[in-house]
Amino acid sequence: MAQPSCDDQELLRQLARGNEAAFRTVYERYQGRIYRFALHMSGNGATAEETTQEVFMALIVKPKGYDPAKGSIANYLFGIARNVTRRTMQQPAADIPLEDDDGGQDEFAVADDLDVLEELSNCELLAALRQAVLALPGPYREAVVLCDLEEMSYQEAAGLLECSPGTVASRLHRARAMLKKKLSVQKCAK
Amino acid sequence: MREIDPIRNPSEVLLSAALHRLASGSPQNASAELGADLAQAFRHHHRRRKQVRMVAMTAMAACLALVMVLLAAHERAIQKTQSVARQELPANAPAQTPSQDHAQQAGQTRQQTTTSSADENAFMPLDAYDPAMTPSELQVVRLELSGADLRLMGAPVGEDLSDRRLLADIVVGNDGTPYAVRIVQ
Repeated sequence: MAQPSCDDQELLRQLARGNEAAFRTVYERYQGRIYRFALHMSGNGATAEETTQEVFMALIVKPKGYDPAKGSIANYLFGIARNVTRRTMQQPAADIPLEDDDGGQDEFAVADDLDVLEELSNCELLAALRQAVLALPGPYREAVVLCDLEEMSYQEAAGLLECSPGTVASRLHRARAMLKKKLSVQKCAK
Repeated sequence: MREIDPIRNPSEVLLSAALHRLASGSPQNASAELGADLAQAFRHHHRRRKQVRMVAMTAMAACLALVMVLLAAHERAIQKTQSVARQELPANAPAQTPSQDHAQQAGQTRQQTTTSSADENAFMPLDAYDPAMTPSELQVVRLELSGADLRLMGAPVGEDLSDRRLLADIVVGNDGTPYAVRIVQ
């Protein structure tokens, strides 16, 4: 788990005292990542803006809600963003069965061998891919968004998702298999 | 980022490239309006917090001042009660004991008639009166005497009342010496 930097902690202290410059610095530092995460998780710009707003409002109203012992500010903000996104989408993680172990891969075995992506045009591909990402179950989508779209390491993503890097790798593997399967189904339908 | 073998997993490479394009093709930041709104919300929140803190501090100061005023008033009341008690304690019958004030007042009005309402309740010091005497050495006795007897004692009683029986309070010492007199009726 990433440790909070002294700079971030000092910024938060200043922010809690009402220093607007400190708030602007924190906002500029994290809003992009929070916004993109919410956007890819929800597929909706308005929802992403709302989520970003809620995350930073939480920081404004309750800056002492952040505990440096529990991780970095980024982890704290992403934690809020995850909760807000889940709530917005009415898709609690508990409802989704997870298979982080090696079992259950046969379902996606066919998809692994398909090479459907070459046959789609760029626009079609992006639209189909966006839909496919949105159709993924939440935890798998989180892994794809953080590791593939935000290009975070397994370690960083594990810190944000509060699980082990191995779990992140497993979820990502399954998520990519699901994506390929969904894309191949779409290609067949076409 | 994980490494993908492009020969063994060409579809993985394509998927990664497509995901990369998806990421770079999406909006990267929240709108500028959102940043401005949040900055305004931040200012508003802290302005209100300051106001609330000021009100709380003012209320606390007012409460403190009120408590201090009440304490001071209570202390004054206690002191007043104690001083009244101290004044009352040595003279159980203050109206019946000839104080120095009363004696002076009586001295000034000795020549006036006994019917003067202002002096009716005042003791008039007699020749034997000594202001240094303490109240514990004195006592008041009420007697009915003739005007002539009272005049002999030193009381300012007119000649016309010589035969009349008059009720008088007389301050006497332990040895029976009269020190002051007050005509009651």
